[in-house]
Amino acid sequence: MFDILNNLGHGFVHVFSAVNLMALVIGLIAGMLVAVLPGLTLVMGVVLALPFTYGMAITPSIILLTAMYISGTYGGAFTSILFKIPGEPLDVPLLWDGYTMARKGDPAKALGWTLFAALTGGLITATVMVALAVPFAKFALTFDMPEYFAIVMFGLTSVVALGGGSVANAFISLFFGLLIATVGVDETHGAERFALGVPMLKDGIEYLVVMVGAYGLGEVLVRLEQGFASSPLQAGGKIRTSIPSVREAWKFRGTFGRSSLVGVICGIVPGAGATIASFVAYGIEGQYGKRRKQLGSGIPEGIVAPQIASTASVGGHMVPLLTLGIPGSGATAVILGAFLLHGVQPGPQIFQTSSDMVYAIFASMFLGVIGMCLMGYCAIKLLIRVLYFPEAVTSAFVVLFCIIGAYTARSSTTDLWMIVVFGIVGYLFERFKFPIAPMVLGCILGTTAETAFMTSMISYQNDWTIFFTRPISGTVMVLTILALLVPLIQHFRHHKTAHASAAA
Amino acid sequence: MAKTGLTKIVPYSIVLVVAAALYAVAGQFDFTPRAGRLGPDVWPKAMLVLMMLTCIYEIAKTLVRQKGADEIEGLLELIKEESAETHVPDVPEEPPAVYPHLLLAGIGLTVGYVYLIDKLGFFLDTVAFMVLFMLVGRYRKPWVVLAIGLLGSLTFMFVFMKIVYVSLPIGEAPFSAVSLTLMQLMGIR
Repeated sequence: MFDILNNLGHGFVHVFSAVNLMALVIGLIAGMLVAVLPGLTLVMGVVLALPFTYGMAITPSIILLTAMYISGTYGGAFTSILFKIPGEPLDVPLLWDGYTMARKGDPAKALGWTLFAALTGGLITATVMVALAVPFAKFALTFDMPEYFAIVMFGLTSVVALGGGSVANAFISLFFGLLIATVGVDETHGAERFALGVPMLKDGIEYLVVMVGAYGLGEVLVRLEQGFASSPLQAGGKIRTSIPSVREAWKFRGTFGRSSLVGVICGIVPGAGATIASFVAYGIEGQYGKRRKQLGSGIPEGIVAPQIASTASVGGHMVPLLTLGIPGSGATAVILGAFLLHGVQPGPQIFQTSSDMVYAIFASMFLGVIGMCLMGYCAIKLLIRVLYFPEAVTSAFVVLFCIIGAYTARSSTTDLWMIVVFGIVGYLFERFKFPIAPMVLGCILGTTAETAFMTSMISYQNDWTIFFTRPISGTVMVLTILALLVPLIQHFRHHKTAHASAAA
Repeated sequence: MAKTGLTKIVPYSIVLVVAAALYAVAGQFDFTPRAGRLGPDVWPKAMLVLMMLTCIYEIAKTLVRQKGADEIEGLLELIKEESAETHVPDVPEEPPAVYPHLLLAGIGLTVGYVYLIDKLGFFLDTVAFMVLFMLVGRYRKPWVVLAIGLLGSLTFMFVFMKIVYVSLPIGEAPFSAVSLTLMQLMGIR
């Protein structure tokens, strides 16, 4: 414990260096802007920031991206509460009570509750992250290849099972991503796979171009097809923040406790990110809250629950990312990409090899949470102004960022063609309702999954039952199967309820 | 078969055919087999088989239960639906208007931008792309568009070439003269 606190202290010292502090501030501002700007999503923003980190050292790079991620979970609250425009899906529950409270004439209080919730959720999640990461990493040190394979499988399947939309489509997206990862020369046998006589495919497909193309260009094409039509702005009242007193907040301690727990748990489970956390926390408030019947009428509990849970999920997500190298969401997949681009493989050894960096990231989370709340309090009027930016202008810049981002990685024009291809793939995925996240995660984790599978097969004489007979990998494989069964059970339950109510 | 059903199976049929073709390609990977070791084709073949099975399931489901064949959805979708049912008034949302010609123009512009970048150079190509893209995106203030295009391209050029040290394409003659003059003015070597 003392070691952790000591290292965290060093981490704070590192964050206060000029470069790291600048990265933190830029990340916070960029995250807020991305959450507010029309047509930009949080993941897209983190993807677009990635190329700027090539020339930076790894610590400020990760600090910048993590700061964007955490402040992005807060920035969208402004537009939800004031204009009824959820910046991200995770902000949708804020419409129900946040916007209602604003329409009732108290937007400042609604924004104040959001700020209080984001601050609390952020500090709780940062603390939990610091407390859990080391024990997690120590446990993970005992893992062998079958365990790694099982964990990667669990991560990938839970993204499919817990995500939105059709599970079948999510599976197709995942398999497509895993296939993309196989393109190029195979490391074990030196065989050329799916190069199809195209020279640029022999080197494989960079997951960066897949991410940038599908998330960035693909999303712009979707919005362009809709003529960049945004909802008209209807402000719910004056733009200022009124922070609730501690005494007022204490009344809702149950909501704070429940929702923080939901957020952290949803963060740790791969696939169940900030959006699920936000909806589940709101749902739980609707079931167990003291004023559950008033939920939706503009009460503080309906604002606190989703906001605290979505911010609290960030730290939870960082635990499997740092200790196992498994990203559970689009944003953490990009952060993993940044680690790999700098030649660092997150995993249990990271606490031995790059302890300074890890604790600087932890410390930056604490400072980032406080910084984002200060920024939200002081610069809200300025932030809201970007809502009036024409989307055609921001989208033109987004496309340019995508293209330059891909070019910067290898200075190769052929990568630009890949961006265009994956941009169109991203558009088609959106158009036909195939989720993009499983493809991106499959693409990033595909090589790890295949290597873990092949190495296990070599080590255990092609005995595939090894994944089920070893205690840890067996348990994780059972969890994987359970994760797959969840949507199926929910589907039949939902069906049964619908039939029963139709019959009634 | 209803038109909607047919439309629904098209993407799965395409994926199925492509996956089958790739399976055939995977069968022809050139490698030397080693005793007791799985080949490099095993993993991609497994992914392709799973992909094909998913497509077949979706096609069969649509064909058998043409009307109202419902999806097995991820947990988030169900949570969203349940929350929305409880908290959102039942007002049908209008689907957004779509403009396929804008989409095609956007794709065409992006393809053209990538195709011409080595010929025109980064600056000229970017100015042209930004101006045209904003106009296609229905932002109709020509002078503002031109100013944003010029200033944006110059800023990108300065930041990436002068600060981040990325060697952006300067283009072929006579267009390279523009890039070289700007580089000289900005002090980029």
